[in-house]
Amino acid sequence: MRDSVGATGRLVVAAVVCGFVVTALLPALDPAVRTARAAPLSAQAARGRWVYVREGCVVCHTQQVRGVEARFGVVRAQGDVGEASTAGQYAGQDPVLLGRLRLGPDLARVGARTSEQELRTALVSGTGGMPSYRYLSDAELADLVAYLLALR
Amino acid sequence: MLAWMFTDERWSSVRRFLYAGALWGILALAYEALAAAQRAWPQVLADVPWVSHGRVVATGQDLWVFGFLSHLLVGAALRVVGQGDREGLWSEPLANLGLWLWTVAQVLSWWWISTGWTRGRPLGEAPWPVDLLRLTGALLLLWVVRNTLVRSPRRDPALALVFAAFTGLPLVLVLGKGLFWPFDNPYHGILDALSQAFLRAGLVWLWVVPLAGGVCLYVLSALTGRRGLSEGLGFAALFGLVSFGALAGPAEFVWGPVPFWVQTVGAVAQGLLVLPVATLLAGAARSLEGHWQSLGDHPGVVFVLAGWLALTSGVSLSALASLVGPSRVVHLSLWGEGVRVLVLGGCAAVAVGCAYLMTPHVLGRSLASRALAWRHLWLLVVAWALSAPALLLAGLSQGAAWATGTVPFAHAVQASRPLLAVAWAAAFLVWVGQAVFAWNLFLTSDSGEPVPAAEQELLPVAGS
Repeated sequence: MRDSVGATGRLVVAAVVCGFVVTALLPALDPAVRTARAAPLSAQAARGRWVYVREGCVVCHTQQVRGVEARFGVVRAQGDVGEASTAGQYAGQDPVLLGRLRLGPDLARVGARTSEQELRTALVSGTGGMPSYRYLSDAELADLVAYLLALR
Repeated sequence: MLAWMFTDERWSSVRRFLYAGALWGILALAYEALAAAQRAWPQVLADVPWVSHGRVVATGQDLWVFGFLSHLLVGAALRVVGQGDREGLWSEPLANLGLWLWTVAQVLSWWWISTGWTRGRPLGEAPWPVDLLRLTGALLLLWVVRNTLVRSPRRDPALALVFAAFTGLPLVLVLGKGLFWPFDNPYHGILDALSQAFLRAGLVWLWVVPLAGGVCLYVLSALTGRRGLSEGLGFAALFGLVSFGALAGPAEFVWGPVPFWVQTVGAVAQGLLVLPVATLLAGAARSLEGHWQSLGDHPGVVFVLAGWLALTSGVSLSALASLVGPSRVVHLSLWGEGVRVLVLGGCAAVAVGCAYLMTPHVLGRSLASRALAWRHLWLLVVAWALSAPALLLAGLSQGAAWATGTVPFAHAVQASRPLLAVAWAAAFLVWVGQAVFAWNLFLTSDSGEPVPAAEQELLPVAGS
């Protein structure tokens, strides 16, 4: 088995490294990614982003408007999800919060269609199938709302 | 104490990995059931921060992949690797050290993610100390497996698959999580999203699936005395699995904000993954030719076959969903959860089946209760029959509602609540089944009938 262990090891290393380079590094050369610029968050919104990460909001909410739904996507009114998201809008984000499942509406542009009061009510009371987050402190709640309002 | 922890007793690490997998499985599936309940009834335990929905899902996923599946499959894999030259593992103490490192990592991970210390990267939430413990354990296990296999005189594609998985895991952790720079995330922006996708695809296609495939091919051929795949076909399946698996990550982003050519690469690789998975299923079935009538004696064999069927269905549905047309409808919907139930649930069934089949060869005792094992199987089959269609249907209905452009988002989600309640019932059944499995293992080690030493060997197929 000695020879096939060596061959298998080399094959796996080559396949994994090639796969990573092609799917996660080469896209850095794409013009849409290379020239990316995104507006920085305020200090309060940046703190709110970590509340978003800590509470796992990304489990139920995406932050990506796909090209195929940009025109007709519906949260409350047709098309209110906004324009399609582009790679550049995520520049510098760590971690990126694209999300993989929508049990709640997409939040890529939630700040453009929702008021501060609506967001506070949704977070404290829980609406439309969302659990309440009453246990957040006032400061954490304010930070989280500031972050969501910055998503435009 | 140290002598007990790092004992060189033959198969001690295998036994401990199997027990640990069974126990982590109870916890992982409890989190899965709680998450399913919270999807159907969002206010369940919403006021308790450490079991709020976002944290439950993150903790549960970590427990599933690193606690339940990894421990159970590594236990089974070490057993088949150690059988190659009938001398056991190259170093039991090192394999035991790997087990303890992973156990500490899993406890810390469970605690920290529940209390909100997370890197916020789905399936890569664990903070850096956990990563380093896991990576060290993975490298130790790779070293043990490598040194054990080079002593074996036989070339066996099943063992090569196992070795591929042990080689793949450290690479996936180092590259996908950026562990070459462990204290911070080296990726930013859309490259972070792509490295996250690489990590998730890698954990499934470069770690869990090759491990499950290698173990099940070896165990079935050893039991029946018939090798299911020729050497060429076996190595071709291995090549397909690692090559396409390493490229499949971006299939998550079809229609999304990543360059179009990357989406295409991911979608094509995802589609091609059907080939190696179906090849391994065919190999498992060929091993059983002439032995189908004796399936009733081995619930473990039925577990393994059911698991590979579920996995093959899952990867086929996943390939379908990454095509441009269907992905317009089902992408980002509950369809993905239905596929996850089939893929990861299928791997879990293979792992559990191998554990049932290996009890005489690991514990030195016959399985305490075949009746309990059959009940476990039926619980799992009923759970799959409920949850996979419910989640796939919920995904289709959500996607169709979004595509109309007239149904408000909240209404589409509300309409899927009854199906989510069905998925919760299924998750609860799977949890009960896991408890039955752990109880049966305990009964076996406590009061199972001893097996003669000669029958404890898991003999490789002659001439292979």
